[in-house]
Amino acid sequence: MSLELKLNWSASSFSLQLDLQLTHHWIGVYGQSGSGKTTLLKAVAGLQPDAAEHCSFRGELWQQGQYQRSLSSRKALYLAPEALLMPHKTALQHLQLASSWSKSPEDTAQIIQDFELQPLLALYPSQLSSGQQQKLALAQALITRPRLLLLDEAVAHLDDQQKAAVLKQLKQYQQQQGFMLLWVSHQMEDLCLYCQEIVWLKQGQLQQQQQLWPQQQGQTFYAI
Amino acid sequence: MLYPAEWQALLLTVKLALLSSFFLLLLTAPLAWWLSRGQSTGRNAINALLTLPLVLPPTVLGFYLVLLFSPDSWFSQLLRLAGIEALAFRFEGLVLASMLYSLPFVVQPLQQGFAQIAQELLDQNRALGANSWQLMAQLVWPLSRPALFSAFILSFAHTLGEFGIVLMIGGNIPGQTQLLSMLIYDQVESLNYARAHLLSGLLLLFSFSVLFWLYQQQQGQQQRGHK
Repeated sequence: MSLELKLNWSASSFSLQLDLQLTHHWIGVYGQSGSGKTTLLKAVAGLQPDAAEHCSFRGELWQQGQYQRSLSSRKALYLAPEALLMPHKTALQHLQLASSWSKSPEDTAQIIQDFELQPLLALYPSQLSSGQQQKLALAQALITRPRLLLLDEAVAHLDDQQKAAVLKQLKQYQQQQGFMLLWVSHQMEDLCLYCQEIVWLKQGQLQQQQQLWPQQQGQTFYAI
Repeated sequence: MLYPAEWQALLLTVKLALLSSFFLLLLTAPLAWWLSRGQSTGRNAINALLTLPLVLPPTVLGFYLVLLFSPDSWFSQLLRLAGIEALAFRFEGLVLASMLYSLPFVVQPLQQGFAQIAQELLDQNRALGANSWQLMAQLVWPLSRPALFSAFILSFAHTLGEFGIVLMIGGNIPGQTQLLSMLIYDQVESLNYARAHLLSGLLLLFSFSVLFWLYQQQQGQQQRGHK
């Protein structure tokens, strides 16, 4: 079992109860606004510890009651809809810092090439469009070779053409690095195109969990 | 232009302002950081306590300090154990009093500056692999430099104008506790308006220049947009 998760959380007018077992590599999370998608992702990342009762990933315990595995040792990266970048660092510095913080970083030059970041390297986040910021945040995450990538509408600001290019690269890095990916999106078409499994949330409950593709040895899944 | 006694008072005033601002910044930065990381009843109580010097008359602070600095107080006895004599009428006492007096002028800008550094951004970079030192060096320090700068200047300028507390605890000893503000008071008392004019004008011009410079710097930082 790859990712096991038990959530039990309630805020004033909202309660989230989920018990999920996820095995595929590329998982879509779908649901209306306010259905608990972001909370689900943050709980897995360890950013919202009070929401999760239990979480384990690839046989490693991440959370059980009061026990919390640290953010840095999970290597699970949550990418928010508005990319969280450092206002005082250039795009290149973002990539270099992530690389220097990582024990076995991905090749920075290769990432720059694959995500066509060359023209942006000298720019600060405030000089980037929101789509470019998302691309940078994603590239920065991939440099650290994450084990789990949690995308919360994290490519939503890209235009269709760029989105397709970014997702194609993401797919390749996924196969190379072997990370698991939870992808929240409002675009059902996108999810159907890329995901092996879709988790559909409704008002904090699991509405449906659906495998989309006959699994061909797990790895040989390609978008058409 | 200035008499030796006036030079001495001027230098002592600047020295006091520099030293007390420096120590104040050093001591209150961790506290201001904690205050900026959320809201709680405990934080509100500490905040109220730290803002007290802004609303209390200097005489109230001065009165408590007089008690604290008197040779037979518990504080002075503690100091004596450490080999330090009582702080009344001494420059070290003034430094401590100034730190108390300028406390809100340091804590508030620091707290506001620190609050600009989103917890989400820190968490994100921690998840990317940064340890606490790396977060400090790459994020916290560069992003809070403008706030540290403002806090220092505000405290410095505020200490230049210190009077009430000095009157209560410092006495008027040249070279030890005689500050510019005290000297001006003396001159006015003895109807020596010419000297009072000169010294007051000097302090006014100096304080204005410091504050003007601060605002210029802040504008520059905003225009550069955090780079």
